[in-house]
Amino acid sequence: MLREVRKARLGWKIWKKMMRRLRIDYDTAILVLPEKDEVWNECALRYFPNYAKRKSAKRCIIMARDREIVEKIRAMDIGMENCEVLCLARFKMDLLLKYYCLHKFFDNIVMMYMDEPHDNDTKRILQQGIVSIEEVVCLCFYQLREVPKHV
Amino acid sequence: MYDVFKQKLQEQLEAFLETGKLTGKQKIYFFGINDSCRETITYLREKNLEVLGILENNTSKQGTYCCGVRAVSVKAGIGNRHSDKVVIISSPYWREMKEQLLSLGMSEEQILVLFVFFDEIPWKPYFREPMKLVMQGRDIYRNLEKRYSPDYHFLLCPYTGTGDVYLVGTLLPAYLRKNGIEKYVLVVISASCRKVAKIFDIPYIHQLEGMDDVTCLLRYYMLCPEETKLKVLNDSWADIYTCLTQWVRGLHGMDFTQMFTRFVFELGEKARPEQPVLKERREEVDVVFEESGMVPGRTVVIAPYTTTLSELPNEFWEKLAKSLTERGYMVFTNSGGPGEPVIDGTDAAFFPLEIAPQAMSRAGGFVGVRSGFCDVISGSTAKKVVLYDKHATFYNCSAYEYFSLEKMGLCDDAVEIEYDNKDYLDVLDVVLREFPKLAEVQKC
Repeated sequence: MLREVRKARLGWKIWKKMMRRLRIDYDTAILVLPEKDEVWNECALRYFPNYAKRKSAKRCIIMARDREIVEKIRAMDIGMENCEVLCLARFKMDLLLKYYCLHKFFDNIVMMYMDEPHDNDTKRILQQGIVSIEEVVCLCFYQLREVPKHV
Repeated sequence: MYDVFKQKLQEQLEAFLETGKLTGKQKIYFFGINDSCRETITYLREKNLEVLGILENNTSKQGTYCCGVRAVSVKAGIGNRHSDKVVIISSPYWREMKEQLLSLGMSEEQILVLFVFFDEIPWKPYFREPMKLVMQGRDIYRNLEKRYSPDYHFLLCPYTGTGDVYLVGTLLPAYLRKNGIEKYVLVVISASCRKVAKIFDIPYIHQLEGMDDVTCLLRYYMLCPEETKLKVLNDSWADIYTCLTQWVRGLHGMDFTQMFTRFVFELGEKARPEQPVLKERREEVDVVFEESGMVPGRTVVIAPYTTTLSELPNEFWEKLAKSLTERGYMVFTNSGGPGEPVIDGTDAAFFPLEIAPQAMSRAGGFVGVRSGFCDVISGSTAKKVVLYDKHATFYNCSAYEYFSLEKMGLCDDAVEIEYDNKDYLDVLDVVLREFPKLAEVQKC
Protein backbone atom coordinates (compact mmCIF):
# COMPACT_ATOMS: atom_id res chain seq x y z
CA MET A 1 0.00 0.00 0.00
CA LEU A 2 2.84 2.33 0.78
CA ARG A 3 3.98 2.23 -2.84
CA GLU A 4 0.50 3.14 -4.12
CA VAL A 5 0.18 5.97 -1.61
CA ARG A 6 3.58 7.30 -2.63
CA LYS A 7 2.55 7.29 -6.29
CA ALA A 8 -0.68 9.08 -5.47
CA ARG A 9 1.21 11.67 -3.47
CA LEU A 10 3.57 12.33 -6.36
CA GLY A 11 0.58 12.63 -8.67
CA TRP A 12 -0.94 15.15 -6.28
CA LYS A 13 2.20 17.27 -6.46
CA ILE A 14 2.22 17.10 -10.26
CA TRP A 15 -1.39 18.26 -10.34
CA LYS A 16 -0.76 21.15 -7.95
CA LYS A 17 2.15 22.29 -10.09
CA MET A 18 0.10 21.99 -13.27
CA MET A 19 -2.74 24.01 -11.80
CA ARG A 20 -0.39 26.82 -10.90
CA ARG A 21 1.77 26.87 -14.03
CA LEU A 22 -0.97 26.38 -16.54
CA ARG A 23 -3.54 28.44 -14.63
CA ILE A 24 -6.12 25.69 -14.86
CA ASP A 25 -9.69 26.49 -13.94
CA TYR A 26 -13.14 25.33 -14.99
CA ASP A 27 -12.84 27.21 -18.27
CA THR A 28 -10.17 24.66 -19.22
CA ALA A 29 -10.60 21.19 -20.71
CA ILE A 30 -7.65 18.82 -20.54
CA LEU A 31 -6.90 15.78 -22.69
CA VAL A 32 -4.18 13.37 -21.64
CA LEU A 33 -2.88 10.94 -24.29
CA PRO A 34 -0.81 8.20 -22.66
CA GLU A 35 -1.04 5.67 -25.52
CA LYS A 36 1.14 5.30 -28.60
CA ASP A 37 -1.72 3.88 -30.66
CA GLU A 38 -2.14 6.38 -33.52
CA VAL A 39 -5.69 5.37 -34.41
CA TRP A 40 -6.74 5.75 -30.79
CA ASN A 41 -5.10 9.14 -30.41
CA GLU A 42 -6.48 10.40 -33.70
CA CYS A 43 -9.99 9.44 -32.62
CA ALA A 44 -9.54 11.12 -29.25
CA LEU A 45 -8.36 14.32 -30.92
CA ARG A 46 -11.11 14.30 -33.55
CA TYR A 47 -13.86 14.44 -30.93
CA PHE A 48 -12.10 16.50 -28.30
CA PRO A 49 -13.68 19.74 -29.59
CA ASN A 50 -17.13 18.20 -28.94
CA TYR A 51 -16.10 17.43 -25.38
CA ALA A 52 -14.71 20.92 -24.88
CA LYS A 53 -17.95 22.40 -26.19
CA ARG A 54 -19.99 20.26 -23.83
CA LYS A 55 -17.87 21.53 -20.96
CA SER A 56 -18.16 25.14 -22.17
CA ALA A 57 -14.39 25.31 -22.04
CA LYS A 58 -12.74 28.47 -23.30
CA ARG A 59 -9.30 26.90 -23.57
CA CYS A 60 -7.87 23.44 -24.00
CA ILE A 61 -4.70 21.66 -23.03
CA ILE A 62 -3.56 18.47 -24.71
CA MET A 63 -0.78 16.44 -23.13
CA ALA A 64 1.02 13.82 -25.15
CA ARG A 65 3.63 11.37 -23.89
CA ASP A 66 6.50 12.27 -26.20
CA ARG A 67 7.77 15.07 -28.42
CA GLU A 68 7.05 13.17 -31.62
CA ILE A 69 3.35 12.93 -30.83
CA VAL A 70 3.31 16.56 -29.65
CA GLU A 71 4.75 17.71 -33.00
CA LYS A 72 2.23 15.63 -34.96
CA ILE A 73 -0.65 17.15 -32.98
CA ARG A 74 0.67 20.69 -33.40
CA ALA A 75 0.78 20.12 -37.16
CA MET A 76 -2.85 18.99 -37.20
CA ASP A 77 -5.92 21.17 -37.45
CA ILE A 78 -7.78 20.01 -34.37
CA GLY A 79 -10.53 22.54 -34.86
CA MET A 80 -10.00 24.47 -31.64
CA GLU A 81 -8.67 27.89 -30.98
CA ASN A 82 -6.80 28.61 -27.79
CA CYS A 83 -5.35 25.14 -27.52
CA GLU A 84 -1.97 24.30 -25.98
CA VAL A 85 -0.16 21.07 -26.78
CA LEU A 86 2.40 19.97 -24.22
CA CYS A 87 4.63 17.03 -23.52
CA LEU A 88 4.16 15.09 -20.28
CA ALA A 89 6.20 11.95 -19.71
CA ARG A 90 4.24 8.74 -19.49
CA PHE A 91 5.43 8.01 -15.95
CA LYS A 92 4.09 11.39 -14.84
CA MET A 93 0.77 10.64 -16.52
CA ASP A 94 0.66 7.37 -14.58
CA LEU A 95 1.27 9.21 -11.32
CA LEU A 96 -1.48 11.66 -12.18
CA LEU A 97 -3.78 8.71 -12.85
CA LYS A 98 -2.88 7.19 -9.51
CA TYR A 99 -3.85 10.45 -7.80
CA TYR A 100 -7.07 10.41 -9.84
CA CYS A 101 -7.79 6.92 -8.45
CA LEU A 102 -7.44 8.37 -4.96
CA HIS A 103 -9.44 11.50 -5.60
CA LYS A 104 -11.40 12.80 -8.58
CA PHE A 105 -9.56 16.09 -8.57
CA PHE A 106 -11.03 17.71 -11.67
CA ASP A 107 -14.22 17.34 -13.73
CA ASN A 108 -12.75 18.56 -17.00
CA ILE A 109 -9.92 16.10 -17.52
CA VAL A 110 -10.02 13.02 -19.75
CA MET A 111 -7.21 10.47 -19.52
CA MET A 112 -7.33 8.24 -22.55
CA TYR A 113 -5.91 5.03 -21.13
CA MET A 114 -7.02 1.82 -22.83
CA ASP A 115 -6.53 -0.58 -19.94
CA GLU A 116 -5.62 1.37 -16.85
CA PRO A 117 -6.44 1.75 -14.06
CA HIS A 118 -7.68 -1.62 -12.82
CA ASP A 119 -11.36 -1.20 -13.71
CA ASN A 120 -10.87 0.35 -17.11
CA ASP A 121 -12.50 -2.14 -19.49
CA THR A 122 -11.81 -0.22 -22.70
CA LYS A 123 -9.60 -2.89 -24.30
CA ARG A 124 -12.08 -5.60 -23.37
CA ILE A 125 -14.98 -3.57 -24.79
CA LEU A 126 -13.15 -3.10 -28.09
CA GLN A 127 -12.14 -6.79 -28.20
CA GLN A 128 -15.83 -7.77 -28.16
CA GLY A 129 -15.83 -6.53 -31.74
CA ILE A 130 -19.20 -4.85 -31.67
CA VAL A 131 -18.44 -1.44 -30.22
CA SER A 132 -16.36 0.90 -32.37
CA ILE A 133 -13.48 3.06 -31.21
CA GLU A 134 -15.57 6.15 -31.97
CA GLU A 135 -18.35 4.90 -29.73
CA VAL A 136 -15.97 4.15 -26.88
CA VAL A 137 -14.27 7.54 -27.17
CA CYS A 138 -17.47 9.57 -27.53
CA LEU A 139 -19.84 7.69 -25.23
CA CYS A 140 -17.49 6.40 -22.54
CA PHE A 141 -14.69 8.93 -22.28
CA TYR A 142 -16.36 12.12 -23.45
CA GLN A 143 -19.86 11.08 -22.36
CA LEU A 144 -21.49 12.66 -25.35
CA ARG A 145 -25.03 11.47 -26.10
CA GLU A 146 -23.97 10.05 -29.46
CA VAL A 147 -21.06 9.93 -31.89
CA PRO A 148 -21.16 13.35 -33.58
CA LYS A 149 -21.20 13.39 -37.36
CA HIS A 150 -18.04 14.93 -38.67
CA VAL A 151 -17.59 16.17 -42.23
CA MET B 1 -33.57 6.11 -3.08
CA TYR B 2 -31.41 4.90 -0.22
CA ASP B 3 -32.20 6.60 3.09
CA VAL B 4 -28.82 8.26 3.53
CA PHE B 5 -29.17 10.03 0.15
CA LYS B 6 -32.77 10.94 0.88
CA GLN B 7 -31.67 12.54 4.10
CA LYS B 8 -28.90 14.47 2.34
CA LEU B 9 -31.34 15.72 -0.26
CA GLN B 10 -33.92 16.77 2.30
CA GLU B 11 -31.36 18.57 4.41
CA GLN B 12 -30.20 20.61 1.46
CA LEU B 13 -33.73 21.43 0.36
CA GLU B 14 -34.53 22.46 3.92
CA ALA B 15 -31.51 24.76 3.89
CA PHE B 16 -32.74 26.36 0.64
CA LEU B 17 -36.14 26.94 2.23
CA GLU B 18 -34.73 28.38 5.42
CA THR B 19 -32.40 30.77 3.66
CA GLY B 20 -35.15 31.94 1.32
CA LYS B 21 -33.44 30.62 -1.82
CA LEU B 22 -36.53 28.53 -2.39
CA THR B 23 -39.94 30.07 -1.65
CA GLY B 24 -43.58 29.64 -2.50
CA LYS B 25 -43.47 32.79 -4.62
CA GLN B 26 -41.22 31.24 -7.26
CA LYS B 27 -42.01 28.93 -10.11
CA ILE B 28 -39.95 25.86 -9.35
CA TYR B 29 -38.44 23.59 -11.97
CA PHE B 30 -36.21 20.56 -11.74
CA PHE B 31 -33.53 19.84 -14.31
CA GLY B 32 -33.35 16.18 -15.38
CA ILE B 33 -35.53 13.16 -14.61
CA ASN B 34 -33.70 11.07 -12.02
CA ASP B 35 -34.07 9.73 -8.49
CA SER B 36 -33.42 13.13 -6.96
CA CYS B 37 -36.18 14.61 -9.13
CA ARG B 38 -38.69 12.16 -7.75
CA GLU B 39 -37.61 12.74 -4.17
CA THR B 40 -37.53 16.52 -4.55
CA ILE B 41 -41.05 16.66 -5.99
CA THR B 42 -42.34 14.44 -3.18
CA TYR B 43 -40.57 16.39 -0.45
CA LEU B 44 -41.63 19.81 -1.70
CA ARG B 45 -45.22 18.62 -1.99
CA GLU B 46 -45.14 17.87 1.71
CA LYS B 47 -44.17 21.53 2.15
CA ASN B 48 -47.06 22.60 -0.10
CA LEU B 49 -44.71 23.59 -2.89
CA GLU B 50 -45.21 22.29 -6.40
CA VAL B 51 -42.56 21.66 -9.01
CA LEU B 52 -44.18 23.03 -12.16
CA GLY B 53 -42.05 21.28 -14.70
CA ILE B 54 -39.02 19.15 -15.38
CA LEU B 55 -36.42 20.38 -17.84
CA GLU B 56 -34.92 17.70 -20.06
CA ASN B 57 -32.32 17.84 -22.82
CA ASN B 58 -32.98 14.22 -23.71
CA THR B 59 -35.69 14.42 -26.39
CA SER B 60 -36.90 10.88 -25.66
CA LYS B 61 -37.73 11.87 -22.09
CA GLN B 62 -39.53 15.07 -23.07
CA GLY B 63 -43.28 14.55 -22.74
CA THR B 64 -42.91 11.87 -20.07
CA TYR B 65 -43.88 12.31 -16.45
CA CYS B 66 -42.33 11.92 -13.06
CA CYS B 67 -44.68 12.04 -10.08
CA GLY B 68 -47.27 13.63 -12.32
CA VAL B 69 -44.97 16.45 -13.44
CA ARG B 70 -44.28 16.77 -17.15
CA ALA B 71 -40.82 16.93 -18.68
CA VAL B 72 -40.24 19.56 -21.38
CA SER B 73 -37.27 20.91 -23.27
CA VAL B 74 -35.08 23.37 -21.39
CA LYS B 75 -35.92 26.30 -23.66
CA ALA B 76 -39.66 25.60 -23.50
CA GLY B 77 -39.53 25.31 -19.73
CA ILE B 78 -37.47 28.44 -19.12
CA GLY B 79 -39.15 30.58 -21.73
CA ASN B 80 -38.18 34.16 -22.40
CA ARG B 81 -39.47 35.54 -19.15
CA HIS B 82 -37.99 33.69 -16.23
CA SER B 83 -37.21 36.19 -13.48
CA ASP B 84 -39.66 34.42 -11.19
CA LYS B 85 -38.30 30.96 -11.88
CA VAL B 86 -35.86 28.83 -9.96
CA VAL B 87 -34.28 25.63 -11.23
CA ILE B 88 -33.03 22.82 -9.03
CA ILE B 89 -30.25 20.57 -10.35
CA SER B 90 -28.98 17.31 -8.92
CA SER B 91 -26.58 15.71 -11.37
CA PRO B 92 -22.86 15.09 -11.70
CA TYR B 93 -23.12 17.18 -14.90
CA TRP B 94 -24.36 20.14 -12.90
CA ARG B 95 -21.69 22.47 -14.24
CA GLU B 96 -22.76 21.97 -17.86
CA MET B 97 -26.41 22.23 -16.92
CA LYS B 98 -25.82 25.39 -14.96
CA GLU B 99 -23.88 26.84 -17.89
CA GLN B 100 -26.79 26.05 -20.18
CA LEU B 101 -29.22 27.89 -17.90
CA LEU B 102 -26.91 30.88 -17.55
CA SER B 103 -26.62 31.10 -21.32
CA LEU B 104 -30.41 31.30 -21.49
CA GLY B 105 -30.36 34.35 -19.28
CA MET B 106 -30.95 32.90 -15.83
CA SER B 107 -28.92 34.22 -12.93
CA GLU B 108 -26.72 32.33 -10.47
CA GLU B 109 -29.25 32.92 -7.68
CA GLN B 110 -31.96 31.18 -9.69
CA ILE B 111 -29.98 27.95 -9.97
CA LEU B 112 -29.84 25.68 -6.93
CA VAL B 113 -27.59 22.64 -6.97
CA LEU B 114 -28.16 19.59 -4.75
CA PHE B 115 -25.09 17.52 -3.99
CA VAL B 116 -26.59 14.14 -3.16
CA PHE B 117 -24.85 11.20 -4.86
CA PHE B 118 -21.72 13.16 -5.53
CA ASP B 119 -19.78 15.95 -3.89
CA GLU B 120 -18.80 19.22 -5.38
CA ILE B 121 -15.20 18.71 -6.40
CA PRO B 122 -13.22 21.06 -4.17
CA TRP B 123 -10.96 23.43 -5.97
CA LYS B 124 -8.18 22.80 -3.48
CA PRO B 125 -6.47 19.55 -4.49
CA TYR B 126 -6.86 17.33 -1.46
CA PHE B 127 -4.72 14.46 -0.36
CA ARG B 128 -5.26 13.89 3.33
CA GLU B 129 -9.06 13.81 3.21
CA PRO B 130 -9.37 11.12 0.53
CA MET B 131 -6.58 9.12 2.21
CA LYS B 132 -8.68 8.93 5.38
CA LEU B 133 -11.40 7.19 3.38
CA VAL B 134 -8.84 4.77 1.92
CA MET B 135 -7.54 3.89 5.38
CA GLN B 136 -11.06 3.30 6.64
CA GLY B 137 -11.67 1.11 3.63
CA ARG B 138 -8.55 -0.87 4.34
CA ASP B 139 -9.76 -1.48 7.92
CA ILE B 140 -13.14 -2.64 6.66
CA TYR B 141 -11.44 -5.03 4.25
CA ARG B 142 -9.13 -6.37 6.93
CA ASN B 143 -12.13 -6.97 9.19
CA LEU B 144 -13.73 -8.98 6.41
CA GLU B 145 -10.55 -11.04 6.07
CA LYS B 146 -10.43 -11.56 9.81
CA ARG B 147 -14.04 -12.63 9.98
CA TYR B 148 -13.93 -15.07 7.07
CA SER B 149 -10.31 -15.69 6.08
CA PRO B 150 -7.78 -14.06 3.76
CA ASP B 151 -8.29 -17.09 1.45
CA TYR B 152 -11.77 -15.97 0.64
CA HIS B 153 -12.84 -13.96 -2.39
CA PHE B 154 -15.11 -11.03 -1.59
CA LEU B 155 -17.70 -10.43 -4.27
CA LEU B 156 -19.20 -7.00 -3.76
CA CYS B 157 -22.62 -5.77 -4.90
CA PRO B 158 -22.25 -2.06 -4.11
CA TYR B 159 -25.85 -1.14 -5.02
CA THR B 160 -29.30 -1.41 -3.54
CA GLY B 161 -30.85 -2.81 -6.71
CA THR B 162 -32.56 -6.10 -5.90
CA GLY B 163 -32.82 -6.93 -9.61
CA ASP B 164 -29.07 -6.57 -9.99
CA VAL B 165 -28.45 -8.91 -7.06
CA TYR B 166 -30.89 -11.43 -8.51
CA LEU B 167 -29.12 -11.38 -11.87
CA VAL B 168 -25.80 -11.82 -10.08
CA GLY B 169 -27.23 -14.87 -8.31
CA THR B 170 -28.20 -16.47 -11.61
CA LEU B 171 -24.76 -15.97 -13.18
CA LEU B 172 -22.59 -16.64 -10.14
CA PRO B 173 -22.49 -20.46 -10.41
CA ALA B 174 -20.97 -20.33 -13.91
CA TYR B 175 -18.45 -17.69 -12.81
CA LEU B 176 -17.38 -19.71 -9.78
CA ARG B 177 -17.02 -22.86 -11.86
CA LYS B 178 -14.99 -21.09 -14.56
CA ASN B 179 -12.58 -19.56 -12.06
CA GLY B 180 -12.38 -22.51 -9.67
CA ILE B 181 -13.56 -20.40 -6.75
CA GLU B 182 -14.87 -22.34 -3.80
CA LYS B 183 -14.39 -19.95 -0.91
CA TYR B 184 -16.20 -16.69 -1.30
CA VAL B 185 -18.42 -14.20 0.48
CA LEU B 186 -21.12 -12.20 -1.26
CA VAL B 187 -20.99 -8.69 0.20
CA VAL B 188 -24.15 -6.58 -0.04
CA ILE B 189 -25.19 -3.23 1.36
CA SER B 190 -28.85 -3.54 2.26
CA ALA B 191 -31.23 -5.92 3.98
CA SER B 192 -33.33 -6.28 0.85
CA CYS B 193 -30.28 -7.30 -1.19
CA ARG B 194 -29.34 -9.81 1.49
CA LYS B 195 -32.83 -11.29 1.31
CA VAL B 196 -32.64 -11.63 -2.46
CA ALA B 197 -29.22 -13.27 -2.19
CA LYS B 198 -30.76 -15.82 0.21
CA ILE B 199 -32.87 -17.16 -2.64
CA PHE B 200 -29.66 -18.69 -4.01
CA ASP B 201 -27.28 -21.24 -2.57
CA ILE B 202 -24.73 -18.74 -1.35
CA PRO B 203 -23.01 -19.94 1.81
CA TYR B 204 -21.87 -16.58 3.14
CA ILE B 205 -23.66 -13.29 2.68
CA HIS B 206 -22.24 -10.31 4.48
CA GLN B 207 -24.15 -7.04 4.79
CA LEU B 208 -22.00 -3.96 5.23
CA GLU B 209 -23.11 -1.41 7.78
CA GLY B 210 -23.97 1.35 5.34
CA MET B 211 -23.19 3.35 2.24
CA ASP B 212 -20.20 5.00 3.92
CA ASP B 213 -18.61 1.57 4.36
CA VAL B 214 -19.06 0.81 0.69
CA THR B 215 -17.55 4.13 -0.34
CA CYS B 216 -14.50 3.62 1.87
CA LEU B 217 -14.06 0.01 0.73
CA LEU B 218 -14.19 1.07 -2.89
CA ARG B 219 -11.72 3.90 -2.31
CA TYR B 220 -9.25 1.38 -0.90
CA TYR B 221 -9.96 -0.97 -3.80
CA MET B 222 -9.44 1.76 -6.39
CA LEU B 223 -6.08 2.79 -4.96
CA CYS B 224 -4.78 -0.71 -4.17
CA PRO B 225 -6.72 -3.23 -6.26
CA GLU B 226 -3.88 -5.78 -6.25
CA GLU B 227 -3.90 -5.97 -2.47
CA THR B 228 -7.43 -7.27 -2.30
CA LYS B 229 -9.40 -10.32 -3.40
CA LEU B 230 -12.33 -8.00 -4.00
CA LYS B 231 -14.40 -8.23 -7.14
CA VAL B 232 -17.05 -5.61 -7.86
CA LEU B 233 -20.10 -7.26 -9.39
CA ASN B 234 -21.29 -4.46 -11.63
CA ASP B 235 -20.43 -3.16 -15.07
CA SER B 236 -19.87 0.22 -13.48
CA TRP B 237 -20.65 2.15 -10.34
CA ALA B 238 -20.71 5.84 -9.47
CA ASP B 239 -18.00 5.44 -6.82
CA ILE B 240 -15.74 3.74 -9.36
CA TYR B 241 -15.52 6.69 -11.71
CA THR B 242 -12.52 5.18 -13.50
CA CYS B 243 -14.74 2.46 -14.98
CA LEU B 244 -16.69 3.74 -17.97
CA THR B 245 -18.34 0.51 -19.15
CA GLN B 246 -21.86 1.63 -18.25
CA TRP B 247 -21.86 4.04 -21.19
CA VAL B 248 -22.11 1.18 -23.69
CA ARG B 249 -25.17 -0.30 -22.02
CA GLY B 250 -27.78 -1.09 -24.63
CA LEU B 251 -25.45 -0.53 -27.54
CA HIS B 252 -25.78 -3.08 -30.36
CA GLY B 253 -28.12 -5.34 -28.42
CA MET B 254 -26.09 -5.52 -25.21
CA ASP B 255 -28.89 -5.88 -22.68
CA PHE B 256 -28.67 -6.18 -18.90
CA THR B 257 -27.64 -9.85 -18.96
CA GLN B 258 -25.12 -9.33 -21.77
CA MET B 259 -23.39 -6.51 -19.88
CA PHE B 260 -22.94 -8.85 -16.93
CA THR B 261 -21.93 -11.93 -18.90
CA ARG B 262 -19.46 -10.01 -21.09
CA PHE B 263 -17.91 -7.52 -18.69
CA VAL B 264 -18.64 -8.46 -15.09
CA PHE B 265 -18.32 -12.23 -15.16
CA GLU B 266 -16.45 -12.60 -18.50
CA LEU B 267 -18.52 -15.63 -19.44
CA GLY B 268 -19.04 -14.58 -23.05
CA GLU B 269 -22.18 -13.35 -24.76
CA LYS B 270 -23.77 -16.81 -25.03
CA ALA B 271 -23.89 -17.44 -21.27
CA ARG B 272 -27.40 -17.44 -19.84
CA PRO B 273 -28.77 -16.98 -16.32
CA GLU B 274 -29.46 -20.13 -14.29
CA GLN B 275 -32.65 -19.80 -12.25
CA PRO B 276 -32.22 -21.15 -8.72
CA VAL B 277 -33.91 -24.29 -7.48
CA LEU B 278 -36.44 -22.73 -5.14
CA LYS B 279 -36.38 -23.95 -1.56
CA GLU B 280 -39.51 -25.29 0.05
CA ARG B 281 -40.81 -22.42 2.17
CA ARG B 282 -44.41 -23.57 2.58
CA GLU B 283 -44.90 -22.56 6.20
CA GLU B 284 -43.59 -19.04 5.66
CA VAL B 285 -45.78 -18.57 2.61
CA ASP B 286 -48.75 -19.94 4.59
CA VAL B 287 -48.23 -17.22 7.19
CA VAL B 288 -48.17 -14.52 4.50
CA PHE B 289 -51.42 -15.74 2.99
CA GLU B 290 -53.16 -16.10 6.31
CA GLU B 291 -52.17 -12.66 7.54
CA SER B 292 -52.92 -10.81 4.33
CA GLY B 293 -56.05 -12.64 3.22
CA MET B 294 -54.61 -13.50 -0.20
CA VAL B 295 -56.26 -16.46 -1.88
CA PRO B 296 -54.09 -18.97 -3.78
CA GLY B 297 -54.61 -18.89 -7.52
CA ARG B 298 -57.06 -15.97 -7.38
CA THR B 299 -54.78 -13.15 -6.32
CA VAL B 300 -53.18 -10.53 -8.50
CA VAL B 301 -50.37 -8.50 -7.00
CA ILE B 302 -49.89 -5.13 -8.65
CA ALA B 303 -46.56 -3.35 -8.43
CA PRO B 304 -46.87 0.30 -9.51
CA TYR B 305 -43.51 1.54 -8.17
CA THR B 306 -40.03 1.48 -9.57
CA THR B 307 -36.82 3.31 -8.79
CA THR B 308 -35.10 3.06 -12.15
CA LEU B 309 -37.81 3.40 -14.79
CA SER B 310 -41.07 5.29 -15.38
CA GLU B 311 -44.31 4.83 -13.50
CA LEU B 312 -47.93 4.93 -14.61
CA PRO B 313 -50.45 7.35 -13.08
CA ASN B 314 -52.64 6.11 -10.24
CA GLU B 315 -55.69 6.27 -12.50
CA PHE B 316 -54.43 3.30 -14.48
CA TRP B 317 -53.89 1.15 -11.40
CA GLU B 318 -57.23 2.09 -9.85
CA LYS B 319 -59.09 1.15 -13.03
CA LEU B 320 -57.09 -2.08 -13.32
CA ALA B 321 -57.78 -3.03 -9.71
CA LYS B 322 -61.52 -2.35 -10.15
CA SER B 323 -61.72 -4.43 -13.34
CA LEU B 324 -59.77 -7.32 -11.83
CA THR B 325 -61.99 -7.29 -8.73
CA GLU B 326 -65.09 -7.40 -10.96
CA ARG B 327 -63.58 -10.47 -12.62
CA GLY B 328 -63.29 -12.26 -9.31
CA TYR B 329 -59.68 -11.59 -8.39
CA MET B 330 -58.34 -10.28 -5.13
CA VAL B 331 -56.00 -7.41 -5.81
CA PHE B 332 -53.09 -6.42 -3.61
CA THR B 333 -50.51 -3.65 -3.98
CA ASN B 334 -46.88 -4.59 -3.50
CA SER B 335 -45.99 -1.81 -1.13
CA GLY B 336 -42.61 -1.28 0.49
CA GLY B 337 -43.77 1.38 2.97
CA PRO B 338 -45.24 4.91 3.26
CA GLY B 339 -43.42 6.10 0.14
CA GLU B 340 -45.35 3.46 -1.85
CA PRO B 341 -49.01 4.00 -0.94
CA VAL B 342 -51.55 1.26 -1.53
CA ILE B 343 -53.67 1.82 -4.61
CA ASP B 344 -57.35 2.58 -3.87
CA GLY B 345 -59.48 -0.52 -4.02
CA THR B 346 -56.62 -2.85 -3.04
CA ASP B 347 -54.95 -4.11 0.11
CA ALA B 348 -51.27 -4.07 0.92
CA ALA B 349 -49.20 -7.11 0.14
CA PHE B 350 -45.93 -7.52 1.81
CA PHE B 351 -43.86 -10.64 1.77
CA PRO B 352 -40.17 -11.09 2.45
CA LEU B 353 -38.14 -11.00 -0.75
CA GLU B 354 -36.50 -14.34 -0.01
CA ILE B 355 -39.86 -16.09 -0.43
CA ALA B 356 -41.25 -13.77 -3.13
CA PRO B 357 -40.98 -16.35 -5.96
CA GLN B 358 -42.82 -19.00 -3.94
CA ALA B 359 -45.44 -16.52 -2.70
CA MET B 360 -46.09 -15.23 -6.21
CA SER B 361 -46.41 -18.75 -7.61
CA ARG B 362 -49.08 -19.42 -5.03
CA ALA B 363 -50.85 -16.08 -5.57
CA GLY B 364 -51.31 -16.61 -9.28
CA GLY B 365 -50.93 -13.24 -10.97
CA PHE B 366 -48.69 -10.19 -11.18
CA VAL B 367 -48.98 -6.89 -13.03
CA GLY B 368 -46.25 -4.35 -12.56
CA VAL B 369 -44.03 -1.74 -14.09
CA ARG B 370 -40.58 -3.12 -14.74
CA SER B 371 -38.60 -3.11 -11.52
CA GLY B 372 -36.14 -5.27 -9.60
CA PHE B 373 -39.08 -7.17 -8.14
CA CYS B 374 -39.80 -8.50 -11.64
CA ASP B 375 -36.34 -10.09 -11.75
CA VAL B 376 -36.88 -11.65 -8.33
CA ILE B 377 -40.16 -13.30 -9.34
CA SER B 378 -39.09 -14.13 -12.90
CA GLY B 379 -38.72 -17.81 -11.96
CA SER B 380 -42.19 -18.07 -10.40
CA THR B 381 -45.08 -19.81 -12.16
CA ALA B 382 -47.43 -16.84 -11.69
CA LYS B 383 -48.93 -15.12 -14.73
CA LYS B 384 -46.58 -12.19 -15.07
CA VAL B 385 -47.49 -9.02 -16.94
CA VAL B 386 -44.68 -6.49 -17.09
CA LEU B 387 -45.17 -2.95 -18.36
CA TYR B 388 -42.63 -0.71 -20.08
CA ASP B 389 -42.98 2.92 -21.07
CA LYS B 390 -42.46 2.89 -24.83
CA HIS B 391 -40.61 6.17 -24.68
CA ALA B 392 -38.39 5.32 -21.73
CA THR B 393 -34.78 4.92 -22.65
CA PHE B 394 -31.92 3.40 -20.73
CA TYR B 395 -28.53 4.54 -21.90
CA ASN B 396 -28.40 3.52 -25.60
CA CYS B 397 -31.66 1.69 -26.13
CA SER B 398 -35.24 1.52 -24.92
CA ALA B 399 -36.03 0.30 -21.42
CA TYR B 400 -37.75 -2.72 -22.96
CA GLU B 401 -34.74 -3.65 -25.09
CA TYR B 402 -32.44 -3.48 -22.06
CA PHE B 403 -34.60 -5.00 -19.34
CA SER B 404 -36.93 -7.43 -21.11
CA LEU B 405 -37.07 -10.55 -18.95
CA GLU B 406 -37.21 -12.73 -22.05
CA LYS B 407 -34.27 -11.05 -23.78
CA MET B 408 -32.33 -11.30 -20.55
CA GLY B 409 -32.97 -15.04 -20.48
CA LEU B 410 -34.71 -14.94 -17.11
CA CYS B 411 -38.03 -16.36 -18.29
CA ASP B 412 -40.04 -16.95 -21.43
CA ASP B 413 -43.54 -16.87 -19.98
CA ALA B 414 -43.87 -13.20 -19.03
CA VAL B 415 -46.22 -11.01 -21.04
CA GLU B 416 -44.22 -7.85 -21.66
CA ILE B 417 -46.11 -4.83 -22.92
CA GLU B 418 -44.86 -1.44 -24.05
CA TYR B 419 -47.33 1.36 -23.45
CA ASP B 420 -47.50 4.92 -24.71
CA ASN B 421 -47.51 7.23 -21.71
CA LYS B 422 -49.87 9.60 -23.52
CA ASP B 423 -52.49 6.85 -24.00
CA TYR B 424 -51.78 4.65 -21.03
CA LEU B 425 -55.40 3.61 -20.59
CA ASP B 426 -55.26 1.87 -23.98
CA VAL B 427 -53.07 -0.78 -22.44
CA LEU B 428 -55.69 -1.63 -19.80
CA ASP B 429 -57.63 -3.91 -22.16
CA VAL B 430 -54.43 -5.60 -23.28
CA VAL B 431 -53.54 -6.37 -19.67
CA LEU B 432 -57.06 -7.54 -18.76
CA ARG B 433 -57.01 -10.08 -21.61
CA GLU B 434 -54.45 -11.99 -19.55
CA PHE B 435 -56.88 -12.31 -16.62
CA PRO B 436 -60.16 -13.96 -17.69
CA LYS B 437 -63.17 -13.80 -15.43
CA LEU B 438 -62.89 -16.37 -12.68
CA ALA B 439 -65.62 -18.89 -11.96
CA GLU B 440 -67.38 -18.15 -8.72
CA VAL B 441 -66.02 -20.07 -5.75
CA GLN B 442 -68.56 -22.60 -4.57
CA LYS B 443 -70.07 -21.60 -1.24
CA CYS B 444 -70.04 -24.28 1.41
